[in-house]
Amino acid sequence: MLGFGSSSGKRIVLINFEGLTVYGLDNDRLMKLAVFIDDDAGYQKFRTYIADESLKNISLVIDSPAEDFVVEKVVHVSAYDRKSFLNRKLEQNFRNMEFRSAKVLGREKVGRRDDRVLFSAITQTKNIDTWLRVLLDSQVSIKGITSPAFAICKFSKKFGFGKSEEFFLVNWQRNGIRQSLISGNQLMFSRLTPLPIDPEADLAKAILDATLQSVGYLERIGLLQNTNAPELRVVSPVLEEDAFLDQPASENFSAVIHHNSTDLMPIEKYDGPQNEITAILLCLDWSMRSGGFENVYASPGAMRYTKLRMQRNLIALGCLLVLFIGGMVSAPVLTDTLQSQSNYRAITADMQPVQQQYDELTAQFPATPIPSEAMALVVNNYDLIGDQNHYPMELLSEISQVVAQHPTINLSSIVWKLIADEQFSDINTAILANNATIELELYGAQLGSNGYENSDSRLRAFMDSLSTIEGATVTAIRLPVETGPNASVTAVVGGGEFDSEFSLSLRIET
Amino acid sequence: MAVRRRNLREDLAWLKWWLVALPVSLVIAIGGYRGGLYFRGEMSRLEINSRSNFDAILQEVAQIEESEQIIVDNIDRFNSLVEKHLLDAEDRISLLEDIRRIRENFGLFPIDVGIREQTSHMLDYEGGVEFPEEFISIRSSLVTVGLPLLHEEDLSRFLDAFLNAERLMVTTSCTITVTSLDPVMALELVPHQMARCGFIWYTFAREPQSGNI
Repeated sequence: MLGFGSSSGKRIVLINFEGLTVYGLDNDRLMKLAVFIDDDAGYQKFRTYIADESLKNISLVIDSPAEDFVVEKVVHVSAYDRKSFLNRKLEQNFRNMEFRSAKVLGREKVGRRDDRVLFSAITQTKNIDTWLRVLLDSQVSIKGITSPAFAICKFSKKFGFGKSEEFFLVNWQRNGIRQSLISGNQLMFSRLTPLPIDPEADLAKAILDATLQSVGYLERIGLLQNTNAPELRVVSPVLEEDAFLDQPASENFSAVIHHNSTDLMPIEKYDGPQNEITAILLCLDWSMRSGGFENVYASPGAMRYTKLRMQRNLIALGCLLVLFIGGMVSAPVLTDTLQSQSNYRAITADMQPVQQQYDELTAQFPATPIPSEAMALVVNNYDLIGDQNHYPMELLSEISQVVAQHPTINLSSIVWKLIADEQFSDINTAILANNATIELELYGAQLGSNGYENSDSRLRAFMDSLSTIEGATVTAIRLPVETGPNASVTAVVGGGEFDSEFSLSLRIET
Repeated sequence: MAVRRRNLREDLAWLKWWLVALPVSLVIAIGGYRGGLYFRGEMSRLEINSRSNFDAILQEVAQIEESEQIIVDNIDRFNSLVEKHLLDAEDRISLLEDIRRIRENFGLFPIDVGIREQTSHMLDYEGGVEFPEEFISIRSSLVTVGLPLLHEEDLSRFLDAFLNAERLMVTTSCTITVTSLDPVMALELVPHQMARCGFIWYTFAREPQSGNI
């Protein structure tokens, strides 16, 4: 699908003189998955293979004898200008070449301190173009294009070949002898020379001769830095370990070390003939397992689908990020919603029996002529008012009994009334507030008194008797003789009997 | 040249669905959030409504039970009040007729009767009844009676009969005054005392919903 860093489908495509070979790992073994001949049928089969295998991305290794290298000293420019400057220099060295590269190797230590730049290009690309067109037509992402020379340089570090500052690495392969000059772990030069035509020829000698030719060439162009004889490392599956011991040409090198490539790769790691294990295959295996090659030759156009898929992945990541943030922001809202929903359901469930009770109560509720609270209001007020409907005769009867005990007391008038406190405007309001009090006023006279003192004591005795009535408080309104010091007194003091008038107030607290 | 230069238009065409997916995912995220807010609001509203309904129905049930109890407690008494015409308009003719009948029954002297104009007062419900279904007013009229008495017993008989005539009456005053202190007149059938009593005659009335009187 999106293929975020998936390694199971990782494929490396090698284009060489045989055609196109697809390599991949299966159960931790490097396998040659498919081989396509460099003809129309091969192109068609490769197209079908891409579709069938859903091949999405690959790394491309182009093994071509037509790979040229030029090391030049160029003036050092700022990083900002370097790209366009190197492009111009590339255009000078390899005009209209599609697969070309410029790599700054370092700076000179003396003089202008120019940059040393390795310009390289694959100059014959007819077969490569066709394979590449098939890949791009099928929208396969090309992660990078490199050549065995650059790949071997990378791989040499892994096997600890770069102990000396400058050395030749020679790789035997079925179509020739590749000699690469590596200086300071960087590729300086590489070329592929043909194998001896005679199969019986001495391969070790052929390797040494070809390398000596290269050494001579490099010395002429001043690319060999070291004045001492360079070290030579040979990687091949076909030579014996002591193949270089008796070779006189070995003396031209500081050391000649042969690595049998079959020893560098355990037998169970490759599913193919042992003589196919060349340095290139070792590079492919290393790349397959540990990350891949650096892109050397792929142009932006060649890497179009890699870039597009990267952009697509970024957009997809953006979409996921937006959805994730949206989800994170919405999560509390969703939690609240679910909580409210849960509460709502709980309340609804709780309400059902109450609703049922309500329906039952409503159904059996008796029909009444008046709302219940109005009914209660009428009845309660009726009781309230009715309780204050006193019979005056009851109290008058009690007063009559008291009067009967005092024969000298003669009442001329009795006033029975309900009175209201000052806070009420009238008696009606006081009655409705259940706050009316009974009060009586008695008007009369003390008959046949023969002395003021005697009259006063009889009247007070009468008042005391009245006080025995339950709840009664007796107050004199008018006495025969005002005894208080603040009142003025006028009287005719004679010798006969006299009647003395009085008026009393009787308040009944209920 | 196998490889053409990259073309922005073609690249955009290749990425078009993914470029569409980005705003779509943005719309989904924002829409999801806004939708969540909407549903939270709706659910919260539902919750609050159901909670209010629940409280209301609980209150209604309690009120119905209370009302039922009130009805059980008061219906008989209320019906008896209705039968006594306490919720009808004052029947002043009936009152005068009752007084006439009492006077005749007890052979009383002619009685002065006065009935003042009626006043009305809206009764207040007790706490807990904020929005009553019906308003009740109490109406009151002041009734005064002037009664010449042969003796106190006349007043006693009159009041017994008058106050037990199934009306809601409250005695507010009663004044007895001796009119003759001459012992010669004591044995004659003439008024010896004068009683003047005041009463408040109450009736109830159901008022229209507006409460305007």
